[in-house]
Amino acid sequence: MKKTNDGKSEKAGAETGLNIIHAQDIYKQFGDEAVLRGIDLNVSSGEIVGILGPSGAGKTTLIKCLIGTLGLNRGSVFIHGVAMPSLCMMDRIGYMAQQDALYDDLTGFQNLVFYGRLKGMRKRAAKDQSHELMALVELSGDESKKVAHYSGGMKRRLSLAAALIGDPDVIVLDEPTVGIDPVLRELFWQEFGRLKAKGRAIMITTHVMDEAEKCDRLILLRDGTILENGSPERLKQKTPKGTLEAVFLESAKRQITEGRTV
Amino acid sequence: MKTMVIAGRVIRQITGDKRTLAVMLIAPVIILSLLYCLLAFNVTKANIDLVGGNRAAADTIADVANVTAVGNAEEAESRLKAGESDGYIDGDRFVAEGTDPAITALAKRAFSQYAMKQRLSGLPQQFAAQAGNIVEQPQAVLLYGGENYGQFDFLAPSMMGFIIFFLVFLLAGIAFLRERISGTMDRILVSSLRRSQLVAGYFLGFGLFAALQTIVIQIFLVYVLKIQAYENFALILVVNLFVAGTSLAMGTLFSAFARNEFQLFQFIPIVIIPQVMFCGLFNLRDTPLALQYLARIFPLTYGADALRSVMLRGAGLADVWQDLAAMFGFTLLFLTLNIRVLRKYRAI
Ligand SMILES: Nc1ncnc2c1ncn2[C@@H]1O[C@H](COP(=O)(O)OP(=O)(O)OP(=O)(O)O)[C@@H](O)[C@H]1O
Ligand SMILES: [Mg+2]
Repeated sequence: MKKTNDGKSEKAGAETGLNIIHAQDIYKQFGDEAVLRGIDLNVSSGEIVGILGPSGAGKTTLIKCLIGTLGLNRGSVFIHGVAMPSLCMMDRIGYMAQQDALYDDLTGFQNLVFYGRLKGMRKRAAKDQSHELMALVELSGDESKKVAHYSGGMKRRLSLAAALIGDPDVIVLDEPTVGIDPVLRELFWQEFGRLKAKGRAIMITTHVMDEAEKCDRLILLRDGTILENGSPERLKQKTPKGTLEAVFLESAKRQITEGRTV
Repeated sequence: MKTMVIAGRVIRQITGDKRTLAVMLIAPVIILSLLYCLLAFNVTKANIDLVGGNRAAADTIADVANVTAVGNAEEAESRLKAGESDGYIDGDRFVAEGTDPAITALAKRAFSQYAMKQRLSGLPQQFAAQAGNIVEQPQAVLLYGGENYGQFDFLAPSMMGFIIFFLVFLLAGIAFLRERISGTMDRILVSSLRRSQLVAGYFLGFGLFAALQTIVIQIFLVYVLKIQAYENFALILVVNLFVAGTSLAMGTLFSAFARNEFQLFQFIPIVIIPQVMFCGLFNLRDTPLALQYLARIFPLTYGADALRSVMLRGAGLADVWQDLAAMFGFTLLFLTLNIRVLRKYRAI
């Protein structure tokens, strides 16, 4: 029952690396409202997969289903071949929530060390890496400031650092660059590139089209189904205008009754 | 191990937030001081006006009333209506204001002592002396308590239990609620942390502050307010830790059913206020059975009972283990429920 799109991208995934995340027929509903209706998805190591879709499309829900913090109504998710949710796999996932998910009463540094320790790091190692990550997101000068006194962008940066602590090999970022200035955004993407080169499997949701361009593969989500799944180049060829913006706008207009999925 | 990581964070959070710390440690002192003052300066004498009347008899009620002589009944009546007196005696007429039952009781005592003396003074000389002996109050022997033992001494143990229960319920409940609202709950569960370790970490973290709190309260009660109580510091600490444990388990569980702080506060009238009423402020002995059973579903009933036994009757561990067991049972129940509810955030 695989779509042609999916099949091709799977092949592309095989070229770049091992299959890390494998999701089959994910179905999720809240009450009577079906938010995800049969999602199949694969992410390989060394691959950056962008998830696009209008607000309320179910991007965050999909991500939470993948990392195991939301139960599925149907379907299954495997990470490294292990059925999720699995405690031992949890330590290998770096998750940046759409909310900042930080402790206001702690300093930025304390937040990072805490998340590092939860991932099973020793105190020394957690502290060392926290310093490194603080430097990476350019917060070195604000290590001992309480998060309550951080600006929105600073929190976002700290939240990214918290997702990267413990060197996870599955990195899931829910709108990581919202509220980040262009210079830092560039820096973030350089870092994503480095992580990709290290063979990490990366998933990013975004609303920004020029970020979407930088992904290896894009998944266009709408009304709980996958409308498109392919490289940015391939998607662009689908519209006369040849821009991702056009692809996005067009897909947003399309009806689900077209029956592209399940 | 991870339990300690969570506990460490909870402790750092509380110490990082000076207000919370102040509320935990200073609020009990303020509440108890206030209660102490209110009870220490409680009304012990009724203000009684005497119209004409027997001066000698008036002297005999000086221990229960402040007596003022007034000229006539009209004056006494208007003073009573103006709130200047609580009652008056006009010959055989005894009138009391009657709205405040405690003051009415004081007035009635004054009236009966006065009437007694009146009648005695009416008797022939030779009987009067003997009759005086007959009506004299017997000397009571107190098994517990003592000479200066008062209402505050009686209430202090229950209040101590209540304060700890209330503050821990609120602070732990809010902390846990914030964890859900801010998304940190999701995030900390994206790790090999077990749900039970999360809850255990909260226990340790808040347990430390509950312990600090009981020590502060005990020192304050014993050395500053100098209450009349047995000073079994260790056992009181143990009982209070059980109280705090139950309260924490309840607070964190109830936070699951609240979408924001305001909704958590809505539990106060349902969960907290009845506990105040059942924790020993009122004697339930003669209440309907249904009420007595109702009291038993509130954990603080057991906590306050244990605290009273230890502090007022010098009970030991062997005497209060049943109360402790009951609280332990509640804690276990709420904890299990809470760990189950947390499945919503991660199925394993
Ligand atoms: N806990 C929940 N209970 C009920 N409905 C929910 C819950 N979480 C999400 N939904 C619903 O699921 C749908 C998808 O939400 P989701 O957060 O996944 O969207 P999204 O694609 O991430 O949107 P955005 O771009 O705005 O972040 C929405 O209609 C939302 O109302
Ligand atoms: Mg979202």
